[in-house]
Amino acid sequence: MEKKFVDDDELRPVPLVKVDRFGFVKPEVKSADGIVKSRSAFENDREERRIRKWRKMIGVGGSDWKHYVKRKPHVVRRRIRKGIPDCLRGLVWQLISGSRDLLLMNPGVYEQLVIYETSASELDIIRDISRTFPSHVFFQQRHGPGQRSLYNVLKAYSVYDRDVGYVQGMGFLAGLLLLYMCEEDAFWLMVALLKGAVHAPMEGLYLAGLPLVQQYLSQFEQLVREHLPKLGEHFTQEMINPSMYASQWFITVFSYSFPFPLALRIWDVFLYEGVQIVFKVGLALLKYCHDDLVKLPFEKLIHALRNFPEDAMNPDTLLPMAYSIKVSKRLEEMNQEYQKKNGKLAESHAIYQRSLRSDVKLCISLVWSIKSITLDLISYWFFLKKISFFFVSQPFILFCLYDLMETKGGKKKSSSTIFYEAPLGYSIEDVRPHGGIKKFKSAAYSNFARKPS
Amino acid sequence: MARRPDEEYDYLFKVVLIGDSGVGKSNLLSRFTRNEFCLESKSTIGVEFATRTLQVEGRTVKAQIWDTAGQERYRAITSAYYRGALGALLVYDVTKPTTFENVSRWLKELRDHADSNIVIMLIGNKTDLKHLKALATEDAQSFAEKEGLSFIETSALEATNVEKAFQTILAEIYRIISKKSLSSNEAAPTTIKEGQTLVVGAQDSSTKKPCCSSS
Ligand SMILES: Nc1nc2c(ncn2[C@@H]2O[C@H](COP(=O)(O)OP(=O)(O)OP(=O)(O)O)[C@@H](O)[C@H]2O)c(=O)[nH]1
Ligand SMILES: [Mg+2]
Repeated sequence: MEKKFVDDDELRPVPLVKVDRFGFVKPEVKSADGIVKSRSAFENDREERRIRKWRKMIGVGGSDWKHYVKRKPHVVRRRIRKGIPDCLRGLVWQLISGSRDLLLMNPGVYEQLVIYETSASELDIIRDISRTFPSHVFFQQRHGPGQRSLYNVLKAYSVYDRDVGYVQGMGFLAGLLLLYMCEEDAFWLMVALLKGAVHAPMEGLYLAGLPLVQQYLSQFEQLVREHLPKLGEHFTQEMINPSMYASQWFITVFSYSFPFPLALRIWDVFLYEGVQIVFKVGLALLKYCHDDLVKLPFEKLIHALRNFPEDAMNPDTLLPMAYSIKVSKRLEEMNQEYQKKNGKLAESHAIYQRSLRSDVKLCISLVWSIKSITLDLISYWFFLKKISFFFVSQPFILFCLYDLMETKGGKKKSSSTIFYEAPLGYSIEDVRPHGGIKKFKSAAYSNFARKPS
Repeated sequence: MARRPDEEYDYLFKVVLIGDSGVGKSNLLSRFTRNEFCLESKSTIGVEFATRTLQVEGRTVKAQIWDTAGQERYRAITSAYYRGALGALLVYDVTKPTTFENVSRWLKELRDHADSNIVIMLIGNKTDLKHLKALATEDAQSFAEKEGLSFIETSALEATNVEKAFQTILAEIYRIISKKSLSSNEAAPTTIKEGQTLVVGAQDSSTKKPCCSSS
C-alpha cells in the first residue's frame, strides 16, 4: 500500500506552482526554502520517535485512545500542547473532539443531508467557496475536489442546523478540517464543535445576533485590563475595542489570517482544551508586543493589531507564553456574571441549545423518514438535475446513482466498494509517515496530471 | 509632538462601506487606499479599517474608512460602526439584481443606526463586467435621486471612478461641515489630534465600545 503511493507520486509530473509543506502557494520570493528541506537528520529522528510515541498512545485506528486519556490525561495534554504530529493530526482531532463517536452513531446521515436536502444558504455558500483559503492548492481549482467538498460540508451543516445555517467564517473552519480529513469526518467535527460534544458549544458564535462573539469580546476586553493594565488603559484612551481586531480570532479560531503552522498548533490545543486557548493566545500576542503597542496611536495601533510581526507568531515562542497565562477561573466567573447580566438574552439563546443527543436523534429519524419514501422516477430525475447543477464531476454523480440504486434495490452494499467522494482520495485509517504533507501533494498532483501539458 | 508630513491634515472624516456580501467593498477600499485589487479576496469577518490622506477642495482630508462584512448576520457587530460616520458608501453589484434590491434595507439600517445627517453615496460596482450587467444605470440614477443620494458606477478591477467616488463623497462632507461651522459661528477645526475619530456631527464618543453597547 505504502509502496504504491510512493510510486504514484514519482510518476506524477512536478506541480506547476510552488507550495509550502502545508499546500499553500508560496509567495514568489522567499529566501529560506521550506522547513522540510532544512530539517536536520537529528530533527527527523526526533520527529520519528515522536510519531512512534503517538501511535502507541492512539492504538490502531484510535482503539487505545480513550483508555489512555483516562489513565494519563496530563501526559496527553502535555503532548498535545507540543503539537500533534502532522500525519496523525486528522485522526487525533476526531478523537479528541468527540466527532468520531458522532460519526459512528449516525451512519448515512451525512450523505442524506448532502444529497436530499436543500438549504436556503446554497447561494451564499457558493459565493464564498472561492474566497476560502484562496491561496491553498486544494481549494484553488474551480469546481475541483477541494471546492466541492467544502461546498458539501457547509451545505450539509446549514441543513443540519437551520438556526445557524451558513455564516461567513464557517468556511474557514470547514476548510481547515478538510485538509486533514474527508468530508463526512469534517462535517461531524463541525457538529461536535458547534453543538458542544466535549466543550462549550460554539454555535452562539454564528446564531442571529452573534451572542457568543459579543460575550467573548467583552470578556477578552476585561481580561486585557486585568492581565495587561497598562495596555488596557491605552486601549481605552485610544478608543480601541476588541471588535476592531479580535472578532475573527473567535469566529474562525485563528484560521482566517494567521500563519498556517500556528493555526494548526492552536487547533490542536483548542480541540482538547476548548475556547480558553483563544483567549490565552490573544493575550499572549498582546503581551509579546506590549511595549510597542502601548506607544502607538489609534490608527497605527489598529494596524499593528491586525498585522503582528513574524516573530510574535512563531508557535514555539507564542504558545508557551499562552500556556503560562491563567484564565480559566476568571473566565468561569465572568461567564456567570455575564449570564446574570444578560439573563434574558441567554435564556432565549438556551432555546437553541437543545442537547446534542436529541439533535442527532432528530436527524436520524428525519433520515429514516426520507429513506422510507420510495423514490419514484420523477423525484429521481429532479434530484439528478439538482446534483448535476452543482457538481460537474462524474464520479460524484456516479456515487449518488450507485447509492440510490442500492437503496431502491434494498440491498446494503459495503461502503468500501462505493466510490465515495472523499476529498483527498484516502480514508482516515490510511495514515502514512509524513502523511499530512503527501496527502495533499498527491491530491494536487492528480489534479495537475489531468491537465495536458 | 512633531508629526511627520503624512500625518498632517485639516480634517478627519469617518466613512463606512456597506452593502451585500461580495459586491466588492473590500476591493474598492484596497483600490482606493493601496491601489490593489484581488480577484479572490477573502470575505470580511467583522470590520476592516484603512485610511488615506488626500486633497479635497484645497484642504488636506484624512479619510478613515471602515469596511464592514456584508452578510446580514454580521450586522450585530458592524452596525455599531455606523455611528459617528459622516459618510456611507452603499455598494451594490451591477451584475446582481438582488444586491440592488437590498439597497433599501441598507438605507433602513443607516436610518436606524447612523447619524441622521450622514452623507450617503450609492455605488454600482463591477462595471467592467459589461456582458453581465443586469441593472440599468438610469434606474439606479433615478432611485438615487428619489432617495436623495449621490450615485456613481465604478469598477474596482479596472480602477474606474474609484478615486472619483471617494473624492465626491469627501467633498460633499466637507461642504456640509464648512457650512455648518460657519452657521454655528465656530471656527472650523484646523488640525485634529491623531487618534480622535470624530470631527463634527456626533460629539458623543459613540465610537467607543461599538461591540457591546448595541444589542
Ligand atoms: N469583475 C470585477 N470583480 C470585482 C470587482 N470588485 C470586486 N470584485 C470581485 O468580487 C468578489 C468580492 O469582492 P470583495 O471586495 O471581497 O467583496 P465584499 O463586498 O468586501 O464582500 P464581503 O466582505 O463578504 O462583504 C471578489 O472575487 C472580487 O475579486 C470589480 O470591480 N470587477
Ligand atoms: Mg469585504
